[in-house]
Amino acid sequence: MNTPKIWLQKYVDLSGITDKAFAEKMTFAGNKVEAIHKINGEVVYEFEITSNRPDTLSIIGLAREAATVFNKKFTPPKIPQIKSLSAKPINLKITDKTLCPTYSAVEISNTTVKPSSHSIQKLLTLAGLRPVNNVVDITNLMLWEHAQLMHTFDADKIKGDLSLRLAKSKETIITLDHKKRQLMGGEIIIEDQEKIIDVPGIMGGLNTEITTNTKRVFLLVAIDNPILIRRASKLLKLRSDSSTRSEKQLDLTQTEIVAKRVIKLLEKETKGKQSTKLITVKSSWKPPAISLNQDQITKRIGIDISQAKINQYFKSLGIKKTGSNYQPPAWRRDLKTTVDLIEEVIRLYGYNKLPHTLPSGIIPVNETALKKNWLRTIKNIVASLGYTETYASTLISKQQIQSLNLNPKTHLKVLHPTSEDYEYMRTTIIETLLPFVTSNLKHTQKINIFELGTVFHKSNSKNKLPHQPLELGLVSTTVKYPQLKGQLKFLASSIGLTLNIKPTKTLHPALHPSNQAQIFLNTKPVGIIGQTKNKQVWTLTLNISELIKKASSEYHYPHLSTHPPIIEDLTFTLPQKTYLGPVIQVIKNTHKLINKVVLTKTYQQNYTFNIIYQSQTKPLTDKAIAPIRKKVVNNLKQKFKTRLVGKLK
Amino acid sequence: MRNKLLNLKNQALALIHQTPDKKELERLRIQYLGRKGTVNTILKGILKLEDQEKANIGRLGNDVKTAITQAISSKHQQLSKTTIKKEFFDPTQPPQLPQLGNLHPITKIINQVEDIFSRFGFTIASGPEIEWDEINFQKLLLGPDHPSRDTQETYYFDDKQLLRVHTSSVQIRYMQQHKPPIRIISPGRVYRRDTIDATHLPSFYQIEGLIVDDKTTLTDLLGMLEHTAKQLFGQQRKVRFYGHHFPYTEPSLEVEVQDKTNKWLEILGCGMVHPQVLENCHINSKKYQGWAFGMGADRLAMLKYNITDIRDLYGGNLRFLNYEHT
Repeated sequence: MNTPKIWLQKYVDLSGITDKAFAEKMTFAGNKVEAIHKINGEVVYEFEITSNRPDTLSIIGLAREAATVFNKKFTPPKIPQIKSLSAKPINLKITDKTLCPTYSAVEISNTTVKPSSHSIQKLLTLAGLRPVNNVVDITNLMLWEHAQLMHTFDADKIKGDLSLRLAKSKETIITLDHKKRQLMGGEIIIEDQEKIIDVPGIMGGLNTEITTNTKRVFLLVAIDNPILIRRASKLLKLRSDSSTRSEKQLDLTQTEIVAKRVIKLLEKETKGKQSTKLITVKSSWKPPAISLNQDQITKRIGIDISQAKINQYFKSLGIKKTGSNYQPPAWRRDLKTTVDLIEEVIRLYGYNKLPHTLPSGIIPVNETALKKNWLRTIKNIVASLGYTETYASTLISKQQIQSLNLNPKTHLKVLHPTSEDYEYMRTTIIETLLPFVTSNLKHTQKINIFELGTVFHKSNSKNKLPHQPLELGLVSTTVKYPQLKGQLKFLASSIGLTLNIKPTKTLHPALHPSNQAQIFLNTKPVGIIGQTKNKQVWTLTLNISELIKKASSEYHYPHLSTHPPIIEDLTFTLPQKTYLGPVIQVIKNTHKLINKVVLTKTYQQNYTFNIIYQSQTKPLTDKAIAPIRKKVVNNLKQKFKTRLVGKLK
Repeated sequence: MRNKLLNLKNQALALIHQTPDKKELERLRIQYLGRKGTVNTILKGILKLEDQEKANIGRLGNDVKTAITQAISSKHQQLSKTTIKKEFFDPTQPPQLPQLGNLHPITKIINQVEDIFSRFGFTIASGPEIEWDEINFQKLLLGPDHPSRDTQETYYFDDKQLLRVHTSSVQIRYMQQHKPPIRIISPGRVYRRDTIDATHLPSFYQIEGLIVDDKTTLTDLLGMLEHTAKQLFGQQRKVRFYGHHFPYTEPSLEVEVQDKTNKWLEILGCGMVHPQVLENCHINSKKYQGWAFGMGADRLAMLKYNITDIRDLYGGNLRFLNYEHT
């Protein structure tokens, strides 16, 4: 909110306070000064007002705050005396009082509508408002001073009585900006005998606009239901200085005071005369009684604040003591409970004057305290393998999905995306990692990147949240399959797990149809390893949420045998398309003395395995292993139709 | 025989000492220690000796062998030293980097903050990114028509499910399931329907902290946050606090830290948990109180690592992500 200093100074004396000190102290107390502008030689403070303080969306509210913060005197505006007349203004019927709990109405006749006086135009311009004419300018001036909404109508354009009700769907009104608006239903509207003339809190109708011909002004100063205003402003996509105020909890007692000031200003500026009595319908609002004692402040804040200080702040804020309780003023409807009052005390005392302490309570020991930070462990391992961690947007575009041959319909979609680029939730990290490969290829051929993040899968019921596991995805342009499988094995064993890769039919449409396989933890599928269709990138995805359920940092170190092993190479000719994994497994399972089997060489269909025989209890002789060797050869021959190259010793 | 052996030893040591090169040394080794070498030849006579003498001479023979072996080996080393030729070595040549693996700047920040708080007994809690409106907003006193929802524009999937706008949802879930004392830190991705520019993306990372017990106060919150800022940015770094408004904390504050150019930058929001929020999670607000804070991990990373465009954090560009090592 733009706040000219000269306007503030009408109600509080700021002499001797530099602009910088003003901005800083006001900010510390919760009235953030975003910027100090100099406009036409005048200082204008730009305040950021929080949604709980609509009272400070006004010059008077900010002047009162400044007076409190700097311990100065606040001088409220004088409330003028007005005439008591018997004529009644245009009648406004409100059947549902919750729509508009309070208002004041009056008419001014014989008005001359013209530009307003220089002093009014100057204040409005400094505040960033556009002067229109004397009538409109006065309503804006008072809106800015009191955060009180009002609307002026050309009374001669109103036919018969007015009534205030909720709009029905598809009713229309042409608003002051000359736009025809179709109402959604549920907006508060005012109509006369013939037509809708106003959408209070949002915008007035063109049909009763004040023009230079206007001779009789109907003034309506009202507080409408803030929730309905807010909904209407969202539905009609209309935000204005009026709607940002009237959607909040405003002072329900001030319509008459403001109306009196407007009458006097209109009489002065338009040379018109008040021609009816001022009618006010009062709301039933009563201030709450809130308890507060010093001990409560000490317990919550950590220091003692003297009663004298509390009294000083509260007096300046308009908070009254009634018996043992406190009563906030009508403009502070945000003050409802004890903690609200504590905040008032402490923000005025000054957060930066408080001492700093550290928590001294009991440290909780529960299952979360015992959990290991597996995510960090996993990230560190993957980075140590030479992969760079990336973060991508989890919201992706339709094009991104389709380019991977995936169906956008399987993806969750947000209702009102801000851009086509961020519309769907990714279902696998590969969807966001592969585009990173493409963009990096312009600069380097060696790309090894990963992300550990959330992926999203539709749930089968509206009453359940989507399935949102953490997934590790990594892609590499430099590894070959055996290396990637080795990295997977290393990662798995580092978190105490054994993962198995089994040949499977096509799982992921984004990957090469044959060069992919599924990864299992016991019998549970936990990931996919596979190559892209152009065979340039190997990819790996792992369901980390599943893995960390079973992860463990307990493992056993072996007792190394002190007896020398016997090491030998056996070469077999394998038939085409023989899976090597089971072959090695069969060799290994032949006898418990076979300690280790490593594939060392391949030439065409010949595969050389290095076999290590070792006993924990005795040195081995060639004689002892000869039958084992024979069994290996026979087992492989039976199961895989292999042939030993060379002869058995 | 004893004398023969001793003479042989002396002769051998002398010759070894004078040997000019490795070739000659090898010839001497074969001459004295070879299978048919002089020492063995002499020792063959041992069989004719009496048992007592046999043992003595045997021992002496071994000693002689050891002495000659040691002499040869030390001479060998000596000769080796002198024969290493001088080469040109360039210590200024460019390095060959190992395959670069690296953690993301945001991960680095999250790790540091987790470490700072874990020293005070805070543990890590997490929750879903697609969350119920009730947990993300309503339990935090942000009713359907609350004006504060404006500052937290939200992506919805239907009228109940949304992308969480803060990790405060994790605090709610945790408080519903645990009794005080509570000390948690919850880093995670959050979403806002913002316009996209150098400082705003549809999602970013937040780190929230929560403590609930029967004695912690606002001054504890200020102390912990000052400690955190100093750990992250250096002992000299100043922080300051000012009043703000969040519906779920009372009082509510924002915190600024001074950057290297002494400019104040807002880094987090915090406050004492509103008693009604505790009650919403079935915690007795008469007995327990607590504080919470939420900081933007992206913002902290940008501040600490001098990053100017938030889009760099989410662009997957290796030249950016591995810059520190190139």
